[in-house]
Amino acid sequence: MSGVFGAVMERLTRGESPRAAARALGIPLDLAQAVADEAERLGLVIRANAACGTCVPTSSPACAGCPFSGK
Amino acid sequence: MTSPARTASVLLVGNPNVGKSTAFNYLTRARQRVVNAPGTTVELAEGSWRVGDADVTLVDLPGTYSLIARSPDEQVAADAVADPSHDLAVVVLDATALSRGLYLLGQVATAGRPVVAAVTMADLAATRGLRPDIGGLADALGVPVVEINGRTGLGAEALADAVRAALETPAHVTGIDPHSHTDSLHDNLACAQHLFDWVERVADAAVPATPPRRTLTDRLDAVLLRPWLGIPAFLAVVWAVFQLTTVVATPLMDGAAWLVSGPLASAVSSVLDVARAPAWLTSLAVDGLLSGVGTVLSFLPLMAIMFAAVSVLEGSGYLARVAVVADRAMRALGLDGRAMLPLIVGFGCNVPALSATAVLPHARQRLLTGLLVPLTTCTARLAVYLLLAHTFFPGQAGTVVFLMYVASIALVIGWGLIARRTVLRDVVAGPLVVALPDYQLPHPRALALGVWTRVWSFARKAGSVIVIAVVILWVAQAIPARGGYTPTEVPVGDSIYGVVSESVSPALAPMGLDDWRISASLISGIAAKEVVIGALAQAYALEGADDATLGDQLRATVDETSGGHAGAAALALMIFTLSYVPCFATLAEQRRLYGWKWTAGAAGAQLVGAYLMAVAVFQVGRLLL
Repeated sequence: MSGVFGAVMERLTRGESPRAAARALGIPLDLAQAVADEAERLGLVIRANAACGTCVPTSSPACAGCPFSGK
Repeated sequence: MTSPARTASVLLVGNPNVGKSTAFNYLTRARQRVVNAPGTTVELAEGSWRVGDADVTLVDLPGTYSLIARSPDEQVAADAVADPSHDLAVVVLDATALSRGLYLLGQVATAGRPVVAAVTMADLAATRGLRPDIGGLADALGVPVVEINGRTGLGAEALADAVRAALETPAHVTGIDPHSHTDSLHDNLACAQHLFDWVERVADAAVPATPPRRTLTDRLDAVLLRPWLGIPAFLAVVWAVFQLTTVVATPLMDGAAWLVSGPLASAVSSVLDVARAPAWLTSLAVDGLLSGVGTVLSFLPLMAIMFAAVSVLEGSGYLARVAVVADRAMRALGLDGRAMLPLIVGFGCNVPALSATAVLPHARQRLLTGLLVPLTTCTARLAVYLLLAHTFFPGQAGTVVFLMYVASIALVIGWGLIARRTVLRDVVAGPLVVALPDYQLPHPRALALGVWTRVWSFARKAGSVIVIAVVILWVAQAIPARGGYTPTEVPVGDSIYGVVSESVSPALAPMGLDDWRISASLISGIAAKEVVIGALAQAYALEGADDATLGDQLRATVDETSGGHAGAAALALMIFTLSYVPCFATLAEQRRLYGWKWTAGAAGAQLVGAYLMAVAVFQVGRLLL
């Protein structure tokens, strides 16, 4: 990956937040956030709660005890 | 200009909350209607807008950050932009977040739509030193740019003029080559990289780059995202949560248990006596259902406190940091970092965690993670730990429960390493990329709602799965296997349930747990781990020994079976409960995902491993405790 997109992605891969990436790269915060958002839409980045969105606890008794599940 | 017979169609496009709808209302006033987007239930506002001497149809599209949609509303926006029957797009840009809007504008231009840009919130941007240079922005974009304010009407006429001119002479954005959208990741990635470079150039021309200031989030992350500080900090946080949970929950649990076994049991017995119910029905209701389900439900206060604590950690953004730190640690061990999120879900419930392995890109990674998920200790097992910890380690219950979670993590890592070096050598480790949110205070109302939803769901599960299991157990306990008793009057030890459990219990002797009630509860726990405590409570209640609590009776039993080393035996029981065969729901989901061979093999390995560990814990522990 190249350019500002690649630079932000490299920072995210290191475990930095979009805010930290923006500060390190000297770019506006909303630009780093836009990169993170688009990368997520492309399937390159996971949102913090993405894995938990796979179940809806009220729909299945098996999910009842899960404190991490979506809603 | 379009033909006189046709009204030009103009799309109003923008990120969410940029003042797009406010501008729409100002421009169209009362001449609006709501329509469904073609083929969908998504509602769109359309209005008639006077532009020069003609009316145009203005369509207020749902707000979106990108034309790669992830919701039906966003798909409507993307489809409308791709539809060549629309003549022009007015892209609304928030001056305080210009880059995000410019990226969307670039995508609209890529779709081939002529564009006019409308800049909102310039006054707010000015207070932050971010007021864009409208002329510089227009030069960089090569299309008309107008500053507007939908509340005051500022720029409305200028925008109408710009739109009229653009309809006559369509204006296309400089530096972007229109092309059709594809579903290819490679193409979309290349397009995104090109567009973001273009956005950076345009934004630089319009407004000076102002990187964000260092915030509390940055200062906390500087500490908490370091592996050698972050992991101990996480363990300290989890330990504090368990301490808080056990200290606060103990009196509430005692109160709930007293309520169920005292007044509630008496009331139900009295009602059944008055109704002249047969003895077997009273036995089923009081000693079976009420005893089993009631004991589990007495854990609801604890679950509520636990869920609240975890929700605070999750809502604050801390759990996402834990995933990042743990990802680094796991990759250092050669395990796939992206497996962290499903494994964290597993600490809530193993079944959704298996579904969550879908985030992993390769089948072998999903298989490895899915086989490790049952080793993450779910909340159902937490109830068992709490009973045992309170009973056998009353002064250190929180610490003991915390250590069970540490043991669970150690088991995941240990089994993972074994699998990577034996049956799953071909799994390739990859990075976990998480877009970390800023730290924030969880919203109290959302927190309360989340806790209520989860506690209620847990209670409903206790009211369905556990009731069925307890009834089945009661039936097995009512059928005699020896001694010539009549059904329902047989002592539990002589029932089918007691005899089968008794035949298994000698195998538990090396763990110091040679008792049929304990072996019975563990067998029952294969159905659902929540049933373990219910089965224990039911077995003791049916024996009708005395008025002692479940904990007291269990303590007396284990004291006897362990030869006076009850603490060591209790630890062995906890370790065995942590890692023996998964519940039916988990096994069924594993079989669906990976087939019988892997499911049976993993369950067998877990059972043998759990047995050996529990025996080792007791044999070593009895020398120390």
